[in-house]
Amino acid sequence: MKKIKLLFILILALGMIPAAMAQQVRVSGQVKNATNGETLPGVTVVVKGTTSGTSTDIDGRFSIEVPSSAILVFSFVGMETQEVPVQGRTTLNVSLSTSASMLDEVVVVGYGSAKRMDLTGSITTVKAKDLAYQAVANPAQALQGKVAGVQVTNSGSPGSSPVIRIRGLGTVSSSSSPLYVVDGILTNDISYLGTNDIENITFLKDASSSAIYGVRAANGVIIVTTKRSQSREARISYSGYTGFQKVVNKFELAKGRQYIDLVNEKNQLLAEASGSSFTPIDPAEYPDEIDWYDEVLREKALTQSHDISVMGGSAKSLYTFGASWFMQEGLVKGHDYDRINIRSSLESEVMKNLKVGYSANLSTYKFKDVPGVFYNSYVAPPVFTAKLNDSTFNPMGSGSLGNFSNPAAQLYYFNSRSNGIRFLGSAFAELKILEHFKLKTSYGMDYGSNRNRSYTPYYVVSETQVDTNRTLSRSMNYSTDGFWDNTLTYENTFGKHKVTAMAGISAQEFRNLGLSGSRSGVENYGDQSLYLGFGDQTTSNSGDFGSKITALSYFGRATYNYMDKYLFTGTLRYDGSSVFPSDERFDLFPSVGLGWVMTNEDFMQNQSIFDFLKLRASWGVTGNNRIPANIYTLTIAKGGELSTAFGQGGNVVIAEGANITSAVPPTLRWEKVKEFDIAFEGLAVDNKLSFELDYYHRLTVDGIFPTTLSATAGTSGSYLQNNGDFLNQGIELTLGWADNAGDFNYSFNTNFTYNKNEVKELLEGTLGLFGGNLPVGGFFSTYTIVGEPIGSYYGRNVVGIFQNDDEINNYTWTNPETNEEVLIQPNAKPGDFKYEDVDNNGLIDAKDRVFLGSALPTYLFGFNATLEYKGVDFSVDIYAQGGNKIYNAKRAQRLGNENYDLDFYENRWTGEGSTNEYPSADLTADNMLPNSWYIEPGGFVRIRNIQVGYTIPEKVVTKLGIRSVRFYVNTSNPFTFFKYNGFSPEIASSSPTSQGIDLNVYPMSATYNFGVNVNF
Amino acid sequence: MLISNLKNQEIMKAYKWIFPLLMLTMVVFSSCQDYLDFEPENTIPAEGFFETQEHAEQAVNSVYAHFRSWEMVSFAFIIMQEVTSDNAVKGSAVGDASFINDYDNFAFTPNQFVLKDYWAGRYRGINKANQAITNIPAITMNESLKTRLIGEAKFLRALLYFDLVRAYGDVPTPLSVPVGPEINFRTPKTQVYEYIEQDLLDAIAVLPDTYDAANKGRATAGAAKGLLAKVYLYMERWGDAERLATEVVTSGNYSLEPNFYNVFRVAAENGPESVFEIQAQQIEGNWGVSFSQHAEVQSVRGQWGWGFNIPTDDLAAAFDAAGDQIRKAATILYKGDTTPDGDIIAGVPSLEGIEGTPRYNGKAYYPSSQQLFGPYGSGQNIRVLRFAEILLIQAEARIRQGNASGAVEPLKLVRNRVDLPEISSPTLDDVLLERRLELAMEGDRFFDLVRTGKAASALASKGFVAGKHEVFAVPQELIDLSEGNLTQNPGY
Repeated sequence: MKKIKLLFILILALGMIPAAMAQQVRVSGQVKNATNGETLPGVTVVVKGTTSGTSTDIDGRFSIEVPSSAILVFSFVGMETQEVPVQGRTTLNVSLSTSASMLDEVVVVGYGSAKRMDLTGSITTVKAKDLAYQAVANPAQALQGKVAGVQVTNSGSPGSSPVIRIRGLGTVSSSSSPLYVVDGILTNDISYLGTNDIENITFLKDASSSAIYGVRAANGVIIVTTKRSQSREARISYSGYTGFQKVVNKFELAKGRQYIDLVNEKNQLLAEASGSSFTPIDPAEYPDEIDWYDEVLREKALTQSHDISVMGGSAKSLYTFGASWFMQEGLVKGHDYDRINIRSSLESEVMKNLKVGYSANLSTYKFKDVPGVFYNSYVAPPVFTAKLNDSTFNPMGSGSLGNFSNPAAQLYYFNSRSNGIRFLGSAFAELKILEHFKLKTSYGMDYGSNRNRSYTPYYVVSETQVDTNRTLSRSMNYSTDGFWDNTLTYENTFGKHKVTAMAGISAQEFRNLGLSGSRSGVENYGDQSLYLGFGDQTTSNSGDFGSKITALSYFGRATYNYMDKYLFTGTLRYDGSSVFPSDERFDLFPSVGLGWVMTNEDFMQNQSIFDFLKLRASWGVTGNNRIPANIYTLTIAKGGELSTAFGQGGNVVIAEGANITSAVPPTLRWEKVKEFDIAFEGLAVDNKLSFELDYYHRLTVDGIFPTTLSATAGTSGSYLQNNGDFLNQGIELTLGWADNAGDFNYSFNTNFTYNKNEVKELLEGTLGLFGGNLPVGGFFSTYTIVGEPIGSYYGRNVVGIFQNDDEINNYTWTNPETNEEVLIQPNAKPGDFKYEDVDNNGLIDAKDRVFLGSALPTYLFGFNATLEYKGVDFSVDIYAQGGNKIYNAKRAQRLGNENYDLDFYENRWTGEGSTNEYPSADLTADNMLPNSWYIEPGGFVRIRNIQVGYTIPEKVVTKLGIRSVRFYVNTSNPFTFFKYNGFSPEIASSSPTSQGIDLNVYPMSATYNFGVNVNF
Repeated sequence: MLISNLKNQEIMKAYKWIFPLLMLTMVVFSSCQDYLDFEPENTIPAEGFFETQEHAEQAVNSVYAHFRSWEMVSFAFIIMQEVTSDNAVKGSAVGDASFINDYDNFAFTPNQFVLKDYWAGRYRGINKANQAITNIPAITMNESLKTRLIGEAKFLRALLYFDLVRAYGDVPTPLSVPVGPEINFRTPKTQVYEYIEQDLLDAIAVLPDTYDAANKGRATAGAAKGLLAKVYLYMERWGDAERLATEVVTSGNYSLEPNFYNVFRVAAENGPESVFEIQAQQIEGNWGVSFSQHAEVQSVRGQWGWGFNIPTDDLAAAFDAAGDQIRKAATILYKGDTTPDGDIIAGVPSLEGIEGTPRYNGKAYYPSSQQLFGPYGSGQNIRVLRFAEILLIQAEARIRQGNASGAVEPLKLVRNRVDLPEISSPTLDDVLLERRLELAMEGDRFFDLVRTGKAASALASKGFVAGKHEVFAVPQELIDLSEGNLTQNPGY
């Protein structure tokens, strides 16, 4: 009975609580991360069912006056939300655990951030750990295959920026590279960043996500967030690797006797055709054999990287410091890249409601360049030694086989060095106004300076490979970009309604200045003597250039979330740029996104297939303003080739010339991309399966396309106008599976992209655009016109090889009017290409050209598997692309006795019946015309990366005062499978109308590196 | 609905903040216009040009400079004015720029780009000349200089239209800027010749006979008269041609350079035989002024240049038949020759289009010792009108008028220089052969053959079709852009 009494009293006491509710208590406490015990600043603390609340300070502390019966809701992005009843307590310490769900992940969205669950656009994030262990100079190089819809083409040259295309190629005349936003600063290039500087890289793929960047967003936006301290606790970490690069899939060329045979065959055919006599080259005269690539390539090219970073904080501040050194040797001898980065950031709560901070990244690089030796290495006769003796390069028969440059000598005498500094930094102040407003102002600056020194020493290798001028050229350029951004953010929750709003204004200025000069007659007494002042004054030449562009933008975003079921995002940007004429330089870029979280609907509560399912649809408009500057201003051309000289002998006077030579378009505006995107995304099978399926329809309207001007007007041949519509449409599918079996964790991720590119419309009267100009003969190999992908290959169609004279004589056409029978290819000889007479007029001419495919891949595929068992981890990445073609142009650049590749040697036509696929060794004259034989499939499958790592058990290392140690071995691009007859199926070209033309491609290489990460 | 959730005082507090913010925004807004408005960097805006005497001079200088450009004196020039004739073939390596063969055998179609290069190059020059002719009159400047500059521009424009009318027949004739719809309509050939005549008459009236040392090379009255004499040959106005040629001959300003080889060397440039030359210099460090590829494209392949436009055996035979070894040696450089300047012609073992010894255009030869800077041979002036040609015009015009004896003296002067005997009663064919031998490889042979009606017979074996190939095809692209208003020449 006593016990029952006690119970009654207890119930009574509990029953009295509502009465005590009126009573306010001040609750204070600290919020920590349950996983690592670190304090959590910025956690939202709200009284359940109301809008009143606070957030934790830099130490994770909070203090709030609440009814003593209240329930406090602690929420923080990336953490599981926790509800804690106050129950009259005055101290509450809470630990939040990391959210297992990717839905809580915070994603940067441009001038703000959002929870992944709330997104209505197509946004993909790549985390640092997916990039950091790859030995690449430019973090963008490591992105291949990581994200659906993103094509990354690497050139292999150290430090170079890859060509990145997001959702296809949507421009013909402007730059097609995406916009990078590094910590809020808009830039075109991130080659200055080390992979270790980066926290994550976020792709804003669809127009609704990127429209907040307005007129610069049409090629997609890549937001790079650098590493920041997240807690007060000091942490020091080191990560480093060392490794080497090695040529793989080396393409074999003809050598020695094989080459002599080919040349003899070719010259015999030419002699027979012209009826002249012919004496074959005696192979005994050329006993040597060489693969010129071996002379110019390194056996192993070293690379290493070391990075130290320190992060932590004090009472009101968080800091980050870091320094790193990266060096990479190129595959070509003498090709070296070296970079040092120093970074620092600080964030401090200087007053209640006022936070200030800065971040800065300073990087310096040194670069030794090499000449384009690959073309020369391909064509040079492989029947010489590189050198005659230790100090003399081989003049290679002094022209007996033609005038070729000795590639080894070309490389040896080339002397070009660059170095530079890049500084990206910004400072900000953020003022919290009232409870729900934040006013942020920031000034960012992107400063770069580059210096180059190129020197051509005195050399005489042969009669044609000679330079006796001793010319020194120097150039310097400086670019200073400034950004002043102001934003006002509002965030609040009203019961079931969650609202955010942001409005901002941004002023941007881009300045560029350069100087260059050269002189001949500079003697080389070592690097210290290479100054222009030591040259011949009469050969002095100088130039400079400069540009200034300013831009002004107003932008805003509003989001609305009703019960986590219905999502809305709307953005507007009003952009103006000085690049455009003053009366029409502003434009509005709107976007709207809608999301429906179906799994939060009542009718979905009883299903167990989907843990999360969202349908989202978005539409937006973005712009591409990267047209050449000052294009609409009619200007004077002056000096240079417009000047002449009068007088004679000792009385020559330069008469400066100037005139109006150009014509300017009546109007020229930015290209616009209008994109519609619809997608399903979700989680299933207990959150183990994640999926995302997007369809996009991306239409470039007012695409900039040259308008050909009548040559009779006597001005420039064309100018740019908004003439074209280009369409990219496609499907992106991303699938992920993550699970564990005891200590064995594993995950698989795969992405697949299909894209179709097409020139949709050209304004009436606009002529198609020829491109892909080939150096020998000046032929165009691509044509851009309505109905075909941009830069489609265009040439004659090979229907076979003429096996004998009878076939040539039987290849006839009968004139329907005169009944006269004519030979279609009267000048052909056996072994030549037989071309299709497409227009059936008895003549093979320019009208017989047909479309032969495109360099743009139609599908991309990426796959990643990660396995982990008790400290051992393994991951593999696979990348594939296909549907694209390559123009094997290096086979056809022939003026004389250029070398051939081994595949050609083995398969060539050698006489009647030998083959109907390959022509004879005579690839000159009509055989050189762009045609279908030179077009080869460009697809490939690549093992992109393999990594095995081992993390030493925590209990072992903690005794040494170390938090964690991980060792790993990594290999990038170890295997690539492809059919193409060349060094690499990856042909990087930034010119939209000259894609995939293989003339001088850096050979493919694999990288092997070993690394260690230590956290103290 | 949402606002109602905000407490009233919160709204008041918010207003307190929002008002100053709005003010700030307004300030930023109002200053933004200046922020985006400025003249683009690194440009000279066209407004403000053609205001000073200096501008007038610069504009005319730019027309002279234009004549060094690729389309004026390099590929388009050699291909359409020489390779088409019986004097020259493509040359160079087999397969290199094989489209040139389409001109050698008259297989080019209206889409072939050289047709457009030739056309565009000349109209670009006309645009520059028209800029000067239209704008200079309004400039306040030295009046006599103004008149002279306009005269120079008209001379140069006449030279450009002369190329066009010979190559295409009827052509559009924009005569001022800005151009209007006239660029899409062809002016009849006879009218084009009248424009040319008028420009040259205007030039003759105002241009000086000579210039001071620093202006040597500008168009003179003699140059305008000489050119007009040549134009009259094409207009078949023999009396006028004779009159003007005679004026030049008797002016006392010109004489023949004694040594034929030297005529084409730098030392003789702007010399007594020079009536008009395109000025070219190699000035170290000044790439722009030193740029001309006239000699480079024709120079010895594998040694100095590309080796295009090489003399035929037919031309060599013509020299031999005439017993003309001096001009032959200066016109045709064979592999293995040693030039008077001491260069040994080495080059490559073979050239496309000929059998036997490789050979090159000797008139485009530039001694290697003189090569200083820029493309090979870019210091060589390009001869447009030589006194020797004026003498031949005089001779031809006289014969055409039945005055064969009047042709003896001018022919004798030309022939004696190269050790050939006087012809006592010369015929028209004698003069035309003399023209071929004297002016070979200088860009007149094809037009001469057409003018004299000999093209059909001389070029039949190469594929010349009478009634069609007397003029080239109008570039197809221009017809397309004119929406068909520009018509094609017959047969194409």
